Amino acid sequence: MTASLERGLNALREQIDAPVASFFTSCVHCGLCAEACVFYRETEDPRYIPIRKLDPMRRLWRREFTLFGRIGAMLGLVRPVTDADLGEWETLVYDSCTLCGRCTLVCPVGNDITLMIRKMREGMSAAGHTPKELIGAAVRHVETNSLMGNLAPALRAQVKRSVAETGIDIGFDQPGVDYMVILSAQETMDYPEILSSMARIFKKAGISWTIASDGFEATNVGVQIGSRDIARILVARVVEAAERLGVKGVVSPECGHAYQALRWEGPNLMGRAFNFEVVHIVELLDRLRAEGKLPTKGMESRRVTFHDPCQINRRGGIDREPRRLMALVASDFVETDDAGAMNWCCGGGGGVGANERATKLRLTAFKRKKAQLEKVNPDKLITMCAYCHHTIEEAMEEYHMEIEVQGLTDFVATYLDDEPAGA
Amino acid sequence: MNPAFTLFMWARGPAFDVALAIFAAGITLRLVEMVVLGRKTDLAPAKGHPIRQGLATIFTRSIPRPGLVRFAPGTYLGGYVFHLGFFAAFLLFAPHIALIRDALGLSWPAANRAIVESATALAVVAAIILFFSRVMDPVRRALTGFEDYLVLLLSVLPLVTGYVAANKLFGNPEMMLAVHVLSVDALLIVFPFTKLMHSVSFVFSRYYNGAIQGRKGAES
Amino acid sequence: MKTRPLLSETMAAHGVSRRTFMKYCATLASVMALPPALAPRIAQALERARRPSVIWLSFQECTGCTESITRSHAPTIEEMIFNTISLDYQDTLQAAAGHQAEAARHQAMKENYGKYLVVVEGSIPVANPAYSCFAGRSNLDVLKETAAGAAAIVTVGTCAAYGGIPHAMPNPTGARAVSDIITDKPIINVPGCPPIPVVMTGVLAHFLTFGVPELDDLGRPKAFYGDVIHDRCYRRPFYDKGLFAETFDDEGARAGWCLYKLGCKGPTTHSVCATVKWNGGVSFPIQSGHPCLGCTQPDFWDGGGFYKPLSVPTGDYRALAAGGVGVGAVVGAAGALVGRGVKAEAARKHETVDAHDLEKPS
Repeated sequence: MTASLERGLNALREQIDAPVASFFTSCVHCGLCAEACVFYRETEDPRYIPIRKLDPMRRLWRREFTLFGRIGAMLGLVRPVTDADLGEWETLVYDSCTLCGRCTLVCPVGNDITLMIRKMREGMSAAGHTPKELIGAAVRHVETNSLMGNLAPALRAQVKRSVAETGIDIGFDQPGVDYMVILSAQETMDYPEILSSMARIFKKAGISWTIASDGFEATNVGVQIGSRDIARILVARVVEAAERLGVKGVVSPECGHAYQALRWEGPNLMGRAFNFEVVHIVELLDRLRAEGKLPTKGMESRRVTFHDPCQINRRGGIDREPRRLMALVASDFVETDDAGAMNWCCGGGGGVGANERATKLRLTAFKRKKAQLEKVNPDKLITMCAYCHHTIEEAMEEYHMEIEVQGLTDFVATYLDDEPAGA
Repeated sequence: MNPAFTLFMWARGPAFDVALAIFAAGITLRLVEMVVLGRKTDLAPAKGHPIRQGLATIFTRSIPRPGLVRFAPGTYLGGYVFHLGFFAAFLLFAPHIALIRDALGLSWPAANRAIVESATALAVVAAIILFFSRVMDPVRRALTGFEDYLVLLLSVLPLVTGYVAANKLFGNPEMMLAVHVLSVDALLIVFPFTKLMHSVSFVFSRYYNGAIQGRKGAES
Repeated sequence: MKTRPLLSETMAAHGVSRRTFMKYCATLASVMALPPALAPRIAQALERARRPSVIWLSFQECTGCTESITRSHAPTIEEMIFNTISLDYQDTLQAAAGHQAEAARHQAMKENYGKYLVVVEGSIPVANPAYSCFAGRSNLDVLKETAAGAAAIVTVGTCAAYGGIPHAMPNPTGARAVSDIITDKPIINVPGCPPIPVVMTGVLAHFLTFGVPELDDLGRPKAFYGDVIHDRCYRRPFYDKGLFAETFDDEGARAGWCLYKLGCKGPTTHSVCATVKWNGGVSFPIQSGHPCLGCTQPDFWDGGGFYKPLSVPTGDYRALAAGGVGVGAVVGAAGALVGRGVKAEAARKHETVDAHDLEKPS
């Protein structure tokens, strides 16, 4: 079956529930969501008012889920949603929203606009209004093992390199270990140092771990496109591998939407609770720190700041953990304005970074991040999402900024005290 | 015999009855319609406390996030002053308390007239600010439609007519009271059909927002 | 036409001093809201005026208005005035009865045709005139007949002015106000249940000195009915401070706080009760601890209840609202079930989205 308006509307109907109804009922058109939105703030274009990005879905709700709206529709007062509407909204829903969630936190009546954009994308994708790069990524990921195509050879090569570097073995498909580690394609390709860092930290902490050869990819383009069906196929690979290997837990890597996909959407996509724990690598590190299993030696003395990835802090609830780790290894740690739950998005999340036509908008949005960074003027920026890492590096290139960017796990591992005791 | 009296009695008699019935039926209808749609059970194990945070968010969301006020001062300031002023004028003025006591059996001390009238005046000024922000500000203008102006007008009319009636600024006092009560009747009638619903549904939307975020242990 | 005595002559005969008379005129000037300088002019006019013939008609009434006037404690100038006008017909006070009385009325009308003043007390039944008759004639007939030669009509009491209590719902007699029936004569309404004596005499004095006074849109002399009681009430400061008696025996009631919540109609009632007061300035209802009933206002009897605050709705709104909630819940649930049906149907029609399906066929 091919994408069509009817399928899109049908998918939207499936998404409308009590929270969505309450959100649309409560909206007072105050526009404060716009003030929170990085795309509106940096362009001042009213097209980017977050709640406006949901207008077709709101109309569908009114027409089909409210009595007054049904009567209004009969009287011709509420326009039906057309394919042209969805076409017009495509850029609003995919290009100018990273699902960052700032609007959700400022809405005075408590509308979870971000959740609704996620839901709206279900309709957009079923109706065939998805950016082509995301479609390509979905096809590649479904057909192979990652959105970048078959990454198995690359991963094996990176593992080999890491083993050579650290002398610590990393086994594939080992059943009964503590954790199964998954990686984002971005890490496999651009930031493979994470493997050595994890190997050293886990060895020091006495944690056994493995990588599943048929479920190592953490990213989930289905979540970004907004297709539960595709998201389910992809998340199932990880879930089934973890269940087959009988691991205690799955370590979600430094990747924002991957954490969302497995930790928060995963059980709902699969329709069942998991019999293993999903833990974010930073949560795990903080746990090891608290248990005294993360000894460090020395500290970074240059000025360091931290970028909170939207999906991990604001939408993921991991806020204090990275700060406790930063305190462990950075002596000159500065917070940017709005750090924490209200941090500004890098501009690349939610599929925006992969979307070619959004490049200009993404770089414009980055100006907010730029201003934030320039105010504290750090030597180094630490984050816990490989895609934020990638987006920020790319944008800093564009804006000729000289700030080193590093993943938090890798940063902590730099100061890991893993010399043999007494040495 | 006395059109002002007749109108006043009609406004606080049959017109109020009908308006209140529409108000009560409409709000109930819309809330039931909303809640009965239901939501799927979230199968992800909670990190935080969804219910507790949902309930807390109903209140905590009343406080603005730091740093945002300066981007939309008119909306924030106008919004706060209008809401506080409106409810101070509504809930602290003795005749209104007498009405609430009659309706619900609840009563509390009335405020000094100076407070009530200052609150009214401030709320009206705030409404004017909100009106201008809807006309002038590009974001507000993009979101504003007929309904927004209608609701703003109908919310401010009881304040203005009440002030005029209480101070006998002009007109026959009975007539001004009638106009005041009619303006309230109108507000009650449009309530369920417009965004005025937010004054009830915000409890639900804030709760859902807080509960969704709370499950993740994230702020809300 | 026989010569009637001048007021000054009558006063002398009754032993009222010139000083007392001037004081009365000053009082009248003040209650009529006239400048004090006009007091001598009132005195002059009153002294010179020949007492006109007055015909006092009593229709559907309780005689309370007559009682009010006669209760003005003696000897007062009010009483003097009524003694000195030629009250040619007043069925409560006159000595004559039956045919003699009617003959007196006819004679007065004949002798003073076009000049006499008609005072009406009580409303006129129109639905069935038989509800109120005297001398075998309906009130309606008598009013029309008497009004025909009148210079002006003064309605005394709310019944004559606006229908009053007989006019109260469901108005079984079809009671009407004088102004509903007589439209071609000046009518001065002096409502109240009853009116304050000095207001009645003041209006008469004004009529005698300056003619028909300035009236409000309900036909009442503005001098006596210009302000609402609330604005002149000595308890007003408590209203402004938000201090109210909640019941008749609470602290607030004892402390003399505002009676608004006990149903006081002062805010909408036009009268000088709070300033002129009653019984020679002794008190008025609010001062005595009872809310104003609003008796100078049309239909005051149908204002939703004497003890119901003005702000409280008059209907059975609670039951209606409860009914509304019930109806809303049922219709809302039905609507939501339809919505759930839409969702269920959508889920049934759901076709698994495949990555290869995402491209829209062009």
